[in-house]
Order: sequence, then structure tokens, then C-alpha cells
Amino acid sequence: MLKLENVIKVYTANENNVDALQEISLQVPSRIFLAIQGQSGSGKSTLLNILGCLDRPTSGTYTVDGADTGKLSDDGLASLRNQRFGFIFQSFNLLPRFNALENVMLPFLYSPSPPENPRAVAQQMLEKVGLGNRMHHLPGELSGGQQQRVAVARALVNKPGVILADEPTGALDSKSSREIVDLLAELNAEGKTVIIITHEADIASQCPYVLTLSDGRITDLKSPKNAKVSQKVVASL
Amino acid sequence: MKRVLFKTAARQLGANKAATLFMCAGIMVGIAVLTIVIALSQGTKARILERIDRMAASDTFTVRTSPWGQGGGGMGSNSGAFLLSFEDILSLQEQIPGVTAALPALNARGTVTSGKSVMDSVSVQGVVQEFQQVRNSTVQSGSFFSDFDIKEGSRTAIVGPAVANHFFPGENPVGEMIQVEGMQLEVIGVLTSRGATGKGSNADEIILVPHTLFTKMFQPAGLSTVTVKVDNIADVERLADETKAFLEALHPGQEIYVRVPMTTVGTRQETSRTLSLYLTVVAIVALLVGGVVMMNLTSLSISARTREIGLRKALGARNRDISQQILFETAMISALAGLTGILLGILLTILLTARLELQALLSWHAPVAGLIFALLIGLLFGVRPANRAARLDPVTALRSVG
Amino acid sequence: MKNKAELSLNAFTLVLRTVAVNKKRCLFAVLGIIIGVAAVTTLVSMGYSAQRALANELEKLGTNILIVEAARASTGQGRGGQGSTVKTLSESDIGSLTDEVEGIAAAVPVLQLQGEIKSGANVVKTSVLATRDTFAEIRGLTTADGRLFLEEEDAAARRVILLGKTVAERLFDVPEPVGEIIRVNNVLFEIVGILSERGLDSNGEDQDDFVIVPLTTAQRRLTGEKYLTHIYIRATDTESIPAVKEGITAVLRIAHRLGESEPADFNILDQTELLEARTDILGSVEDLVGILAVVVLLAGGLGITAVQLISIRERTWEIGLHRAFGARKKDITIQFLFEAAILGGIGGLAGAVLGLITPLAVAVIFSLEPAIAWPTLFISLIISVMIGIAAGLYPALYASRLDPVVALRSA
Repeated sequence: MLKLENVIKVYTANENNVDALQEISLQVPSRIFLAIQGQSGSGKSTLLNILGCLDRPTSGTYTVDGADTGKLSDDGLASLRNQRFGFIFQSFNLLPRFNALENVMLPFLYSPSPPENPRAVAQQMLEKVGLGNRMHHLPGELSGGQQQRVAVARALVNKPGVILADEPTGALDSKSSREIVDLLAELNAEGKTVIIITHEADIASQCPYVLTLSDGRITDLKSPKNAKVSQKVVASL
Repeated sequence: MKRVLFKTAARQLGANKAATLFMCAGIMVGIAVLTIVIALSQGTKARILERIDRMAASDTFTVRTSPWGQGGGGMGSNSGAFLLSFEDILSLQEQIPGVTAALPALNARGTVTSGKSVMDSVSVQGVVQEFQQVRNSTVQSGSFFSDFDIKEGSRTAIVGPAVANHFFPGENPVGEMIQVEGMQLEVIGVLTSRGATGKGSNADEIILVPHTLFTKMFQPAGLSTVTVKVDNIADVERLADETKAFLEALHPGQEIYVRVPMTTVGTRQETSRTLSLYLTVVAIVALLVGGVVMMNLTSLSISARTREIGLRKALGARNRDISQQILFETAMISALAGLTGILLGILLTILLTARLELQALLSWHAPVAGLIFALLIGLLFGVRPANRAARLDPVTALRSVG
Repeated sequence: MKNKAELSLNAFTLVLRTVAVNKKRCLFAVLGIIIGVAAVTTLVSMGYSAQRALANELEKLGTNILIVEAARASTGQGRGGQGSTVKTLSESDIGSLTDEVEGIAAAVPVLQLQGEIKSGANVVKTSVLATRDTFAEIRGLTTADGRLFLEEEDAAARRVILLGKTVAERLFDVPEPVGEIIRVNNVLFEIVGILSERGLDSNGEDQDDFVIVPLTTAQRRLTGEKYLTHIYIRATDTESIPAVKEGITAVLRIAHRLGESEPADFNILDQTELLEARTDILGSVEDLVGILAVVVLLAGGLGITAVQLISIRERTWEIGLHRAFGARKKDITIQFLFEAAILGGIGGLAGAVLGLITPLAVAVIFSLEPAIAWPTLFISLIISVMIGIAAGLYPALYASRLDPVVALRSA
């Protein structure tokens, strides 16, 4: 359960204060498939970054499964990121000179208790996303869609509860886009919370929950019709 | 897709300023280093060779009215022997271009006394103002004769350290009185030690007096030996011959003998060889160092530009356009940076020689070689990889991480 | 939970792999260090070789020669020439000197007289040096014609003589007077050799205006005296000249039984002009080498720093990525420390090896005395590696403090 209470995020860029998020309160229970949409500059990336503990709120509280992130040190946050969250970026962000397998194994470097056989686990993940036969390829040797799938495998490798994807299909053609979204949906079906930022309406339409941001505020929350109260996303508009 | 392209590319253009700057810096530093290093080394080599020449007095020659080996060599007590006059010396100095100074050799042996002490058979020399310059001999305490002393023949003397120690051991003899050939003279200075002469006698057993005084004391009939110093070592032989001809023309029927000191040829050659070798090593090392610095930075800056190239292609540039542009830009940067590097090198060289005891010889070899080198490096490590990048498709180029 | 050792090993392995995959970039980083160390060491080592070569060249001119000269009597008696020099210098002094003074390679006695040389109608007044057969070697004299006289001839008091070129020219019109008989102070001598020309010295004095006869011959035939006017000494090396001078002074004062306040009855002459030139020349080389070392080291340092500055951007993104997946600041720092250490170590080693081989190779090829400037090697090694490590760590420290978000955006 991810809980944001009165979160404000202010950036200082060249002496100007940019209000990226203004008093966001949001509750995301587990196993949710949530899409966040909005114009560029609406604050959706900032929201995702805070959700994933990549960034801290300027004020307000963010609790992850009851733990107050405000009370965690930078190292504590790092640990949290490693264990609980998996990231997928728009521009894939794979290390260019390491092969797929090595890229997937990256999170293990920082796990407090990595598996006995990290290679095997990484291999498994690659097979899961359908790239078992491309383990030793370099990112430059893979198509955009394949690279993103490696990124997904990487995000999964520590078995986190939450997957956060920032415009995962932004750099892909329509076929690969569909593959990735299907993959994400599959992961959600397996029990992971999947939060995805997108500006494409047809992707958003595949998600049961859609949060709309504008100028740092939540302006809309679309929920599925038969959502159970205890398992609902709650947002203050 | 296009958005990503634009965003990445936009960032690249910003990065490029830094990359280009680094490439410039690399070339500048490389060439400056080359210039400085070579100028200093050449300067030191010249200085050392000049020191050797000075040590061997290679810039002087000796004129005599009688051949060597006849003993004497000062005032010619041999009756009837032909002698030069002071006017001859002055004419020599004035009329032969390239001659810096002509030193008459007024030498005698005299007895020196002070109090109860006596030193006989001491070398007494009458000198002119140019003595210090020609003979590399300086006064370590007290002072040299003033123009007045020389003109008027004041009763003053400068003594060598051996004479000073003999009469005034442990004291400063300046101001004391000594008698030379009966005349009372005041000691006004002590020469620096010269050690042994080439013949093994003690060069410090010597007394200098103004030549005007010498004339009063010993009444020489004239001069039989003159030492002439020239501006340029290379002209020594030529000027020796000219002087001989000049004096013989002044005194028809008389033979004048000139002799050039045997330069320590072997030593000079060997020294020159050793230093040239060192210079070569220095030059090579400097080229390598400069070259590596240039190569490094050029390479890296070009890698950064690969993405810029991708952007340009995405915007419609043809391979040819890109190649041309890269070539032009690289050449321009290399040339400008190179020139700046040369200027920087020259400036720093001047600074270093002013502040430290070093000598530098700025020749055009080093900078020109450096420039050519810089252009070569620019071509090899800049243009070639850039052209290779130009042939990539835009997407790959944009994605590359150098 | 992982223990420290495991963590370190992971970091190390990762760094090794990182270096392996980023060969080009790492090569550039290392190159700066290699050059810094190798270039500086080579320049300085070769500078020392050059210095030694120059010192040897100058020594051939006689920088290591000392002349002990009998002093003048303080109250003059007699007139002219050596009548007024003391007669305390003797051959036993030579024994004392060679036994008790360190740094003397050879010592030879000399008795200098005025001589009147006659050949037919030609008369020349010149200095006669009566000495041993080893004199020529100590003074570096060679014969242009004929030969030097031999030890046996000296022992047997043979009347043989060597002429300086000027004297030979004044006495004879023929170019090769070897074998001719001449009179020296009315004693007949046979010419066995003509000395090679040395020309005028820096004061314009003729260095070829003298003759040499064996000492025993002179003592028996030309003069009854047993004392010496000079002792010529060759020191083992020029550097020890001041020490040798002191040694000679001490030993002779004792040998001549001089009281503490008595002035010495001898002078020690060195080749001052040569020595001064030598100091000047060797000093010039030293100064040059020093400056070159600094300039090159700076250039190398600049190169190293520049390379790392350029790579900061690339690595900032990379670091951001690692942090996004859970790397702590500590992890980043350790990785970069390892990397900088590994690269610094490799670079330093390679640079040191190059810096050792190159001057040796050059010296051997050009027959110079090889010299390795060990202090320079170590200092430049330390400085270059330090710069390398500092320059390599900086991006890490900078980036590890950034927000992962900001770092990631810098791609």
C-alpha cells in the first residue's frame, strides 16, 4: 500500500520555484493497475519518481506499506528501491556495453541478500519476457522493443511488489508498444502493482484506474465500476 | 520517436560546446608544451656551447710583432725590434668592424714589497678598461680602475689573491699600500682566483695597474703583443687575417703575426653532439606527450559529436555535407587552437626565462612542427572517426554513447 | 546479509568488468598517467646521462687536475726565477700524499727550471719541466711526432728531451727534428718526441712554449737540487677536488712540520676557469631538466584531468541508473575508488616500466652513460597516480550526491 498525504514537491531552477506537485493525497493499494496521464509539465513524472522513492517530497508524507519514507536515510531509500520497486524508463536506460544478462543482473549488486545463483534467476526473467535466446546480446544489437523487454526483466529480478513505468512505449513502434503493455498487464495479473505513465489514450484505456494530473494537481480519477472499497485507489481531487 | 530524437539531440548540442572546448584545450596545451620544451632545450644548448667558447676564449685572437717562441712578449727590450703603438690599437678598434676590443699586452716582471715582505718576479700587467671584458677576470672585493684612474695613471693597483695572501694574510688588502718597482701604490681591489694557467704557473700571482701608470713605471718602447676580442666567434679567423693586413698596411715592410686560439674543438663537438641527442629525445618526448594529450581530447570530443551528427542527418544533411562540415570545423579548430597554443607557448617561455635562470631559443621549427602535428592528429583522430559516424544512420548515431 | 568481503568482491568484479568493456575510455584515462610517469622519468634520466657525458668531456680538459706549487719565501732572497721559492717540496711528499689523501689517482713530481736551448745558431729561452714519464698522461699530453720518454730512460738519467711545438719551430726549419741533438743549458740532449699543439690559452699565452726532460737526468745533469717546484695531481673525480685540496693541505702541513699559525709553504692551484665553466654547464643542464620535468608533468596531469572531466557526463547517467536500482553512495564510491586504483596502478606500472626502459635503451644505443633518476620515477609515479585517482573519483563524488532523477536525466 502506497500512501501520499499532502505531498508538495517544489523544484528550484535558476532561482525560480517550480511547483511540480501541489498537495497530492493518494492511496494506492496493492495489485492495482494504474495509469497516470496528463500534459507535459503536469507533474506526472515527478509523481512517479516520488512513488518510486527516487525523489523525496518537499513536504507531506509518503508511506510505503506503513513505513514513513521521510524517516529513512538516503541509504534506506536506496534499499527500499532495490527491494520493493522496479523501474522501466522511456529510453530503456540499459548499460550499453554490458549484455542483456548482465543488465538484468544489475539490481542484484545492491541487494542485501541476493539469490544463490543470480545468473540463473536473471536468465529466468529473460526467458519470461521472451528473450531467452538473446541473453548475450548487447543493447545495440537489440531492437527497441527487445531492449525495453530487457528493462522489464531487470525491473523484475528482485521480485519487487511495484512496477513503475515512465512512458514505456514512448520510443517504440505500435507492435512493440502493444507487446510491452500486454507484458505489463500480465505482470499485474500475477499480482504486482503496476503504475504506468502514458500520454497515449489507447494505452490508458487498457488500465482499470486512470489518474489525470494537471499543473501538479489530480484533476480526475477514473475507477472501474465494480471496485471493492478496500481495494480502491483513493485520491483527493 | 521524433520527440526523443529532439530532446537527446538538443542536449548534445549543449554538450558539444564543452567537447569542442576540450579539443581546443588539448591542442593548445600540446603545442604550447612542445614550443616551451624545445625553446628551453635549444636555449640551454646554446648557452652551454657559448660557455665553452668563453672558457676557451674562442672569440679572441692574438697579434704579435715577433713570432711565438722568442720569449718576451710584452715590451720588447730587444733593440731594433718593431713595436706597435697605442694609436695602432685605437685604429684597430675603430676601423675594423666586428672587433669589440683590443687589449695591449703590457707585461713585465717586477718586485713587490710591503713592510718587510718581498715578492720578486711577480707578473705586472698594465690594463685598459676593457680588461675585465676580454679576460673574463673580475674583482672579488674592492673595485676595478675607474676611467679616471686609467686616464690619469693613478697610483693604484689591483692584486691577485696570491699576492694579497702573501702580504696581507687573512685581511682585506683594499686600502693598503704596496711598493711596486719603487712606486707606492694603493690597493683598490682583489681579483677572483684563477687557479693555474695553461702552463701550470700560478695565475693569481699578478698585479694590475692602469696602463698609463705601467708606462711610467717600465717605459716600454711599444707593444709587441695585442689581444683582440671579436663580436662573433665565427668571424675570428677572418678578422685575424684582416687585422694582420691592416697593421701591415700601417707599417709597411714589417711582418705581423696573428694566432687564433685553438678552440677546444673536440670538447665542443662532443658537447654539441651530446646536447643535440638530448634535444632530440626531449623533442620526441614532447611530441608524444603533446600528441597524446591532443589525441585523447580530440577523440573524446568527436565521440561526443557523433550524436550531433545523427541529429543533423535526421534533419536532412547528406553525408557529403557532414564530411565537409567536419573537415572544415576540425581544420579550423586545429589551426586556431594551434596558433593560440604557439602564442601561449611563447608567452610562457618568456615568462619562465624572465623568472628563472634559463635561456630559451625560440625558433620556428617547433611551432611549425607542432602545427603540422596538430593538423595530422586532428585528421586522424577527428576527421576520420567523424566521417565514419557520418555514415551511420541517424538513429544509431543518436543512440551511441561514444 | 552480505558481509563486507562479499560486497567488496562484488564491487571489484564489477569494476574489472566495467574496465574490460570500456577499454577505449579507460585507455585514454590510463594514457595520461603512463605518459606523465614515462615522459618525466625519461627526460630526467636522460638529462643525467647527458650531464655525466658533459662532465666526462670536461674532465678530459683537466678539471680534475691540481697543481701543488712551492710557495715563495716570505722574505725575498736572491733574484728572479725560483731562487725565491721555498725548497721544502720533495718526492717523499708524493709518497705521503698518495698514501694518506683519499681521492688521489696519480701524483707526479716536477722541477721547473729556466732553460736556454741551442740548436746550431738558433737560441730559445724557455721553461724546462723535469718530471717523470707519467706526467704526459696526467696532463693529457700526446706526441705529434716521435714518442714520450720511458721510465727506464728516466731511471738511467738518459739525456732525452720532448719539445713543445713552438720551441721546435723556433729551433728547426725541418718539420721533423726527432733524433736531432740540441743543447740545454749547455748539456747535450737528444730529441725523442715533439708534443702535439695545444695553442694559446684563454689569456693568450702560448701553451706549447716549454720542453720536458726526465727528472733524474735534470737532477744529475742540469741542477744539483733535490727539491721540487711542483707536484701535479690527478684526482679520481672532479667532485672530490675540494676534499682532496683539504687533504693535501693537511698532509703537507704535517709533512713539512708547520705550526698551526705558520703560513703554508705551498699553494694548491686548481683549474679554476675550467671548474667554473663545469659548474655553470652542469648547472644549466640541471635547471633545464628540472623545468622540463615540471612542464611535462603538468601537461600529463592536465591530460588526465581533462579526460576525466569529459567522461563525467557519461558516468553521471550511469551512476544515476545504478542508484535507481538501489546503489548507495557508499557503493558508488567504492566502485570508483577501485576503478581509479586499478587504472592508476596499471598506468603507473606501465609508465614506470617505460620510464625505465627508454632512457636505458637510448643510452645504450648512443653510448652514453645510462642513468636512472629513481627519485623522479617515484615522485612522478606518485603524483600522476594521485592525479589519476583524484580525477577519477571526482565524477563519482559529484554524481553520487545528485538525485538519481537528475543524474538519469543528464544522459
